[in-house]
Amino acid sequence: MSFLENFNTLEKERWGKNPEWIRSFRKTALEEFERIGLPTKKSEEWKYTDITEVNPFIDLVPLSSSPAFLDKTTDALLKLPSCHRLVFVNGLFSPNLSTPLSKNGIEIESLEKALRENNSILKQYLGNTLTSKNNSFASLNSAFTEQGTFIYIPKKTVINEVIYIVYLSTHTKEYVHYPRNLIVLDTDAQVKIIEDYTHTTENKYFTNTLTHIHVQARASCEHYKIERENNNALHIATVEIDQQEYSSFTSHSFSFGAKLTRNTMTSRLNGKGAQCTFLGFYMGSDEQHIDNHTMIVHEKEECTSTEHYHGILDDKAHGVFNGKIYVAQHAQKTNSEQTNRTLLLSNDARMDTKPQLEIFADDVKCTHGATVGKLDETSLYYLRSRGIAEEEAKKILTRAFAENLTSKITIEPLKEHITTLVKNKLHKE
Amino acid sequence: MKALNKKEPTSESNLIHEITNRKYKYGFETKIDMEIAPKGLNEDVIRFISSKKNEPEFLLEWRLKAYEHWKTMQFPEWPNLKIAPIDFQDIIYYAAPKKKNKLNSLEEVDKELLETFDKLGLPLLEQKRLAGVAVDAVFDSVSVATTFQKELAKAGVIFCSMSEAVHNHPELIQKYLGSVVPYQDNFFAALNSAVFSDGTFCYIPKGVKCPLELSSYFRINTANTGQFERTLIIAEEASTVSYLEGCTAPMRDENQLHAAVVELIAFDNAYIKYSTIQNWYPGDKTGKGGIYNFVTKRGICKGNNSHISWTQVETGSAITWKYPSCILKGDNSVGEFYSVAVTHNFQQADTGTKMIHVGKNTRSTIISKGISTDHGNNSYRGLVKILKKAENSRNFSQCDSLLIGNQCGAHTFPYIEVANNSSTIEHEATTSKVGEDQLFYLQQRGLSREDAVNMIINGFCKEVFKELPMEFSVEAQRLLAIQLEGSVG
Repeated sequence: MSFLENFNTLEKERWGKNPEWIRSFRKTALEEFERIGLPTKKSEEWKYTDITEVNPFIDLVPLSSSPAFLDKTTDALLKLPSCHRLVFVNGLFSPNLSTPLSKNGIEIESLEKALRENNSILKQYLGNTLTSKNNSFASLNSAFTEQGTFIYIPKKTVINEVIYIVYLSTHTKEYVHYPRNLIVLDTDAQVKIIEDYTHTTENKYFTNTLTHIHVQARASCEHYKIERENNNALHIATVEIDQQEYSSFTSHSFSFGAKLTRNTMTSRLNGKGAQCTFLGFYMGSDEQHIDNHTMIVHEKEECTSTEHYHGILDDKAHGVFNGKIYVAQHAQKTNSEQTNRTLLLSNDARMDTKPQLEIFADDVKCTHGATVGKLDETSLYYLRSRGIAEEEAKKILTRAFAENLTSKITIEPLKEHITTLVKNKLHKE
Repeated sequence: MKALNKKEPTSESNLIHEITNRKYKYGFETKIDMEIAPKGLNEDVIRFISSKKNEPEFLLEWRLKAYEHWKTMQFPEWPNLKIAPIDFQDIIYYAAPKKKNKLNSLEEVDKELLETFDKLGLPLLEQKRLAGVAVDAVFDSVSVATTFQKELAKAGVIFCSMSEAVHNHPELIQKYLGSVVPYQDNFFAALNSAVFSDGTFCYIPKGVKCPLELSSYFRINTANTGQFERTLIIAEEASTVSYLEGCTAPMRDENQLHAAVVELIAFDNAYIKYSTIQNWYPGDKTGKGGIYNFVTKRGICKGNNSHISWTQVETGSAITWKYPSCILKGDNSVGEFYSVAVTHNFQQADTGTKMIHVGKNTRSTIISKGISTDHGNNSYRGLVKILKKAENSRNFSQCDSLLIGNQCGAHTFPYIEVANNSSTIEHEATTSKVGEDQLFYLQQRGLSREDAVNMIINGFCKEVFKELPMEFSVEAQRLLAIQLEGSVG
């Protein structure tokens, strides 16, 4: 069956009772996808990433029945002492494992439920925004929007517990899921959110996820995305952030798993004095392909953006980085810095990087730097002269390289967990 | 145009007024009898050019093949440039000053022509003799004079126009022409290969250090013509050569096309230094007219330990599209790219370089400085590619942009592709304006604001200027001062 037939079947069988606005939202998105189709390597944005393997998954229908609950399911989740947890197994919301919250105007809910209840805030933010133009996968995600999360933090509300969203794959057949997260922080709100993509199966599957975050004036959001899918999985993610004046947004993006990972992350600084920080860390081994495309759009004056993407590539892994900083003509007094550093541990690893600046304002300070290479010989020599064996010295330096970014995690249990993940991956455990 | 410095708006706008009304000093046209091909491009025009130049059969065939290929190609859409569609049938592809007889010496060159080059500050007969620079002057489609040929011949150096080279050294032409930039390479290279009319040929034999600076001067004169020259420099084992080109054109309201191809070949231990001061007519302050400059420049470090260095100062042209590149094939070979690109009024530049590391221990350096003022748009586009076998390669790139005024733009598109782990690649870029604190420091030391700005900009470009041969370094600094004077504050 083609994706078009799938769409029509779902529309008839599952979405009939959905509000009219979401049905037309899906339809518009489907038409958009039909218009642009899947990207090819000829497209500048997909120059280094081959998505042939994704093609057959486009025509699969997302699962509709709840999978059997397995004991090891909970083992795959992060152990966080107190959190609001939303768990999705094979793309479907799992109420047994989740602790949603809906009181005092706070909504930490499954998207499906919010759609059923025709939540007016959801309608306001989801219905009005058909995300980035010419992003095939975002359009496809929008066309199949059903499962995912809806988070709304009202004005002046600070959520102390972390919100933990997990997409867990346990299915033993090939399948596709389209997680959709809509996160809205009203003015002066604060929250920390973890999005985790993990698995208990070694089976191949395709994750096409989209997260849209609205950070209103003076609100502050910290967003963690942990991609630790299995090594056969295909993972394509779009994260879009809209920021208003004096808002602050920090993204921590970790990519460890999947055969193919593509992250497209865009932040629009639509208000004066907004701050945006993108931190990314990627580790590739075997034949993994990890592609990070980021864009920060400075639309208004006095905004600051900081971006650091660092990665370690081993074996035949292939890394791609494209970081675009756009400064509009009236976005004076912009301050922006960006670095991309990649460590190649093997001679067969490959890195293609393209840091990009597009600047139309004159009173700006923008810098970017990119390095690709091996461990620093002098540092290595220093450690060895102190009596540390070469292998051990290399490990220390590699871990230190990773620590530049892992040390920036502000959630302690998560930091420990990520540090272990890095260590295991380095030691190939 | 908005005044940039709110403190002294009057003097500021005066200065801007002054600069925007400044005349392009090389904008005159020479009245001279010309022999012109009919407008448009077809096989007959190519045959006409080829027969005019009495070319051997192989070259005509090559041109026709290039033309056939060109017809299948699309005008490139990817550069960050806004270009009005070009009607390739509305261009004259060949224009040459009418010659009476074959010339035996420079003294026989047409008087008007010599006067033209005199006016351009390029007296072919006298002064350059003192400066010790050999010049090949190209007027519209053909080379009109080459100086110092005899002196160079003593050292075994061949320095002549491409047409002469085709007749006197066909075996070299057949072997090397198109070997670095094949006609299939890109749209403009294909066009150039089909219709190129003249250009410069240099051959430096084994072990020879070229005793003089070599130089070409390109001048577009006739209206509606395109200039398509082709330069080929071959440096045999352990030879050294430094080459400089300069360009100007009359002021006209229409855009004129310039599509050149430059090929450099360096064998073992050879060193080629190629410098360009490009000052084609940039168009007027409303963006009308100016030269469309689409140039393919590429050098190959064929031998081990060879070295190619590109230096360019790009101040002219309405549109600049050029990426002088190095293929570092020989082990331990070195490629360098130093560039200053200034866009003023409505000028647009999309320029940069490609460093392809093929051999082991190859090194490349890229220093690019872009300055944008008014409505100018400046893009750096570069590629550093380290192939798997290019072990222990090293690249350092630095691309800085300076923005003056809030109507202009600066863009960087650096591509870095690395396929082994023994190489080290570093890329840095910054964009900023002339710092208030820097200006304040210089002003409190007693410099006027204007001088302070000039000094800062010269400092910004210094790394590139110091790579130019001495006389031209001075010329480049002067050119930059003239272009930017009054536009900063």
